[in-house]
Amino acid sequence: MYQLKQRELWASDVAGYLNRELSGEDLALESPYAIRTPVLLKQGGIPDGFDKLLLITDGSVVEEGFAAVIRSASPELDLARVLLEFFASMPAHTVHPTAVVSEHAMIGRNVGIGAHSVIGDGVEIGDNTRIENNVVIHGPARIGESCVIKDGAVIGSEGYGFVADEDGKLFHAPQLGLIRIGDRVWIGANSTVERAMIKETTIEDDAKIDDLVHIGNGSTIGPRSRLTAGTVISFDVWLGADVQVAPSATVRHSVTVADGIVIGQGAVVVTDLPEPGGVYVGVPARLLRKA
Amino acid sequence: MPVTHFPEKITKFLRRRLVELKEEHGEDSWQYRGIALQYFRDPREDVDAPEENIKHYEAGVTAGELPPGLERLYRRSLVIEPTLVCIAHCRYCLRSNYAKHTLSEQQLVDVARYCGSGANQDFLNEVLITGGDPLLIPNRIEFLLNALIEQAPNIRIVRLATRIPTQDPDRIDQDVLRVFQNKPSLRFEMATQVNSPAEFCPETEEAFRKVRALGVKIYSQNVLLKGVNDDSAVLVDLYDRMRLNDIEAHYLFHSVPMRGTHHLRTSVDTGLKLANGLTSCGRISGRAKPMFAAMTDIGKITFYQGTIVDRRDGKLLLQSEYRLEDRLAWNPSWDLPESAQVDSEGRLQVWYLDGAD
Repeated sequence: MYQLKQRELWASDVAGYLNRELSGEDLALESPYAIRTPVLLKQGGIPDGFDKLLLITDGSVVEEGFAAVIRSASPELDLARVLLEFFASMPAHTVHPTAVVSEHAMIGRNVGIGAHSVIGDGVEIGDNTRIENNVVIHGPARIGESCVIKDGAVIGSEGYGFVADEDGKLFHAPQLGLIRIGDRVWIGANSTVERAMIKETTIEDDAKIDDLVHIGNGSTIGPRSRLTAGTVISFDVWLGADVQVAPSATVRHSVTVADGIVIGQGAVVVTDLPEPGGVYVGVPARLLRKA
Repeated sequence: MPVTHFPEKITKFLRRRLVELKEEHGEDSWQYRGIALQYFRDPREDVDAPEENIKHYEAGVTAGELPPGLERLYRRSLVIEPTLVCIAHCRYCLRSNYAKHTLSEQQLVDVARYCGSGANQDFLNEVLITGGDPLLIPNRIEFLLNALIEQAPNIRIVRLATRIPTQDPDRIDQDVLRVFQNKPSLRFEMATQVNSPAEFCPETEEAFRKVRALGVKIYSQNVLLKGVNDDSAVLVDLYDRMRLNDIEAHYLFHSVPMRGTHHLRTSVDTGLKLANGLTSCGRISGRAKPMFAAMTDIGKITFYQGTIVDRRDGKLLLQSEYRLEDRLAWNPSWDLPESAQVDSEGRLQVWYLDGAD
């Protein structure tokens, strides 16, 4: 999505942009790699070759050796904002010539649609949403404003809805339910969001879905919830607001998970978790600690 | 008092351009001086001089009933300053003494709501987004414009003030150009400032071309600066180059009496003489002629016959058509500056410090 943009930027520009004070030298930054934060310093593995560095810090690391210092209560957030504004470039909002967009779709202002993506009948896409490459969206679907849907995601995939007929053969019931995705939702690469037979499948505002996540038909993902890679949400699940799911966890069908719950890595949730907050881990998932 | 708070800051592009001009024309050439004097810190900035202004005017920038980052001097238009950060420091900057704020997304939403609130819906139809240089932060400007579209549909004209095309033309990239795109409800104009013909070169002309290609009208508000463009031939060349680049001539400003700018300010009489020469010399088309104006404590005043009503102690009393009651009607927090007075017909007059030749 983003491409690195090399621009000369002064430490005082960074401070002015962040509304913070600069101490030390007002040095010219040729690259974002000349910026450090406490988390970056802990992670290591950062390119060398910069004589002078700018440190954005909450005071948790030694400042000696840095030519310029900006003190901040939230250095990582500040760094993210600086990278976005000054060092990251986003391809223009256009519909790629290889994309297929139904004449019965409604596309908002400033929407980007990447190569080989398919936007079907009855799809509505809000302003400033970015659909990357090889994305397929089947209608009916309403996607809000300022969303990001990454490469290879499938939205409105026909749900896994089979019923046995009189002879015991599996009969696929048409899945016609609406997909409703709120504003500022992020859906990762190769993730799938299934359509239900009648019911809505819903992802609320500001939910962030990582790569390789499956959301089963008729499920609801609450606002600001975060689902990381490999998560499987079965059908008819209800996740509350601010739920966090660690990688490769699974939630059984028709389960309710209350607001603010954290589900640990690889956990399998098989029963309702009705009490808000708390950390649940293991198979089957059990309460590790209360909120 | 020295202007040490306002350090020299020159982009890599301008540094390279200055080296080229020095090698090609020499250090004393008008080409080299035309850029160098605008950006190099000069020891004469520290000399005691009558120019004492710290801010060019106060119009509710941080206080009063307006959200922060706003100035309201006119009924139908509003000045928004999303950031006061620039990529280069013009030595005659009007806002060098302002705190270097950058408005947050929430503050920009507040600004947009103000633009679309109450009586503003009926009168306010235009915003000037300036700074600082707003195109230094295109993502946040994109956010502001989207907020204006949503919250203030009465805003139909957006002017963006920038010197980036001549200070670092590579920055006019797809992220900056996106600001002007896909907003059919808005008419865009770019307000730039080119003070010397030496600022035109293939890179800067290409930057302007990319903006024009999006249907954006570009105009220039030039500043009359001693040693840069206080010469009839240089001004003719400047306005010719602007016209060739489809940049509309707007104001030619007399340099505002900011502290540290004495060496860059001509007298108003010299400005009037040069402006009259431009408009009546027959060497440039009437399509390319600017209006000579001063930025005073009460706002812009264009010089016409009768504008200067008195002269005293190096100051000129300038006549405006602004009315105090109008100003207070759309900005109740506005205070009549000490330099201003109301004439017998209710119009504002203001004392303005002249420059020296």
